[in-house]
Amino acid sequence: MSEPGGRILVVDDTRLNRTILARALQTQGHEVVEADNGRVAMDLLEAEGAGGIDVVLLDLEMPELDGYETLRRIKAQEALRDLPVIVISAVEELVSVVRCIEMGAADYLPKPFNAAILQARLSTSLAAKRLRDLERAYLKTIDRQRSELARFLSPQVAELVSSPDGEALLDGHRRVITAVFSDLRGFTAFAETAEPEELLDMLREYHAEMGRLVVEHGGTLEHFAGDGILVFFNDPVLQSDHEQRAVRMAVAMRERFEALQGAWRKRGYELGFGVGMAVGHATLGRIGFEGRYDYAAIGTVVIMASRLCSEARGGQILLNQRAYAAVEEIVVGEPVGELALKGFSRHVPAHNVLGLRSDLDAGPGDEAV
Amino acid sequence: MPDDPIDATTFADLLETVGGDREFLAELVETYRADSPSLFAELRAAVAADDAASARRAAHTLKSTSASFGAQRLSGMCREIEAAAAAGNLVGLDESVELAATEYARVEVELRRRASADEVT
Repeated sequence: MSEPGGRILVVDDTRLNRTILARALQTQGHEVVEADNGRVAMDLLEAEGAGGIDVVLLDLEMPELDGYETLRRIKAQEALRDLPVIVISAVEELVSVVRCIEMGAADYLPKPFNAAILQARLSTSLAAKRLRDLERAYLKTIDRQRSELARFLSPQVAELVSSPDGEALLDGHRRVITAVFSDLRGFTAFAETAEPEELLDMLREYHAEMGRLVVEHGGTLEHFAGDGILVFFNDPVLQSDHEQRAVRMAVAMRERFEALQGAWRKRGYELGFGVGMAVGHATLGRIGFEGRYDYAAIGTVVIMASRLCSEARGGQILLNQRAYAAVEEIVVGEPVGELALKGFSRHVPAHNVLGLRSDLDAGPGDEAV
Repeated sequence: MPDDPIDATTFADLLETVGGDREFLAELVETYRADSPSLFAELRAAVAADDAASARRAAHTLKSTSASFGAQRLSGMCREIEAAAAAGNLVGLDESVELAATEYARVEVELRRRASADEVT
């Protein structure tokens, strides 16, 4: 066999057995490390870490720390658990072998030793060890790719890319979603006059704060476009309360914006925050071209949210009929009439959300007492 | 030879296991011959002192090393001593130890002969 040798730890208290095994293993192209009892073996394994040893050949009867206890300790350690352990056993001790295999031993080596059996058992265990090492390395790579991907994509979409169900969802599907579109009033004028560094600093701060709220409420961020933010809910992860999550996020964003605006005003920026929110069917999936794909929602619901946002004055959160009906119980709203929206032949009845019932009930009322 | 204290197949296997290195095999025999007398001494002392645990350990080691060379009868005798000691039964064990020691003397002579022979037979 031309397979490369491994690094084998031989644990046996009998010098003669160690000597025979060491020579046999060296003859077969392996490197040998010896320990004369379990305690020495454990110290060695812990010092070398998981990568140092490929297979352990373990005698059972030893002073200080016997084979059973050594095996138990190896299997109890996360870092050593996958290390194959072959127990050395005389034929008449087969009962002990069964016990060891139940405890996690990979195989056993009969005494007296036989070169062919030693080679066969060892190469099986070595192959298993190498496969497991490879698997660990792959898993580490996937983890790294996933966390790197999550920095560019919304976490839900990053998760999709590396999950088996994800492929089907990416291929495209139709679903009811809540779309939330928000942007800043007065941003274009501000962008024209501000210094580039100032503009980018301000946007970074704004995106960081709003992005945190998107994640907190479980929204899928489709994109940031300058001051515009499109977030949808109920996809790719289904959310039975997607409308309510969306409106809570919109209200939280408006509050957060007001705090930011307080600081910006001191620097001379005068901006307003508006939101449009709609519920309806959309087609979701991968769009774009090889080399640059996006996960996107397409449908009138998205356009509706965007148009409602355009209609909203600073501080308004405008909802279409279906969205308002779904959140009526938890918000205080006011009708703003039927709006003529670009691209929609019929006028759209809309509501503005003044706040969450829970906040409004607890807020000023308490102070009055 | 039916009365051979060394099993020829096991002995040949051992030579193959160490890569056919006869010199190394001779060293192993020397190690065995160097270690075994003190193990017998330990075993005798343990039986005399009614120390079952020590008796068991010494018998276990002798059983294991003797088996490696194909000294099957000796290994079997040691296994019985080990089992009796494990059961805490040291009564009459001194006699078994002496029988094993006699067998060891035969094994030792035969091993020396085989180790210095040109061929394993």
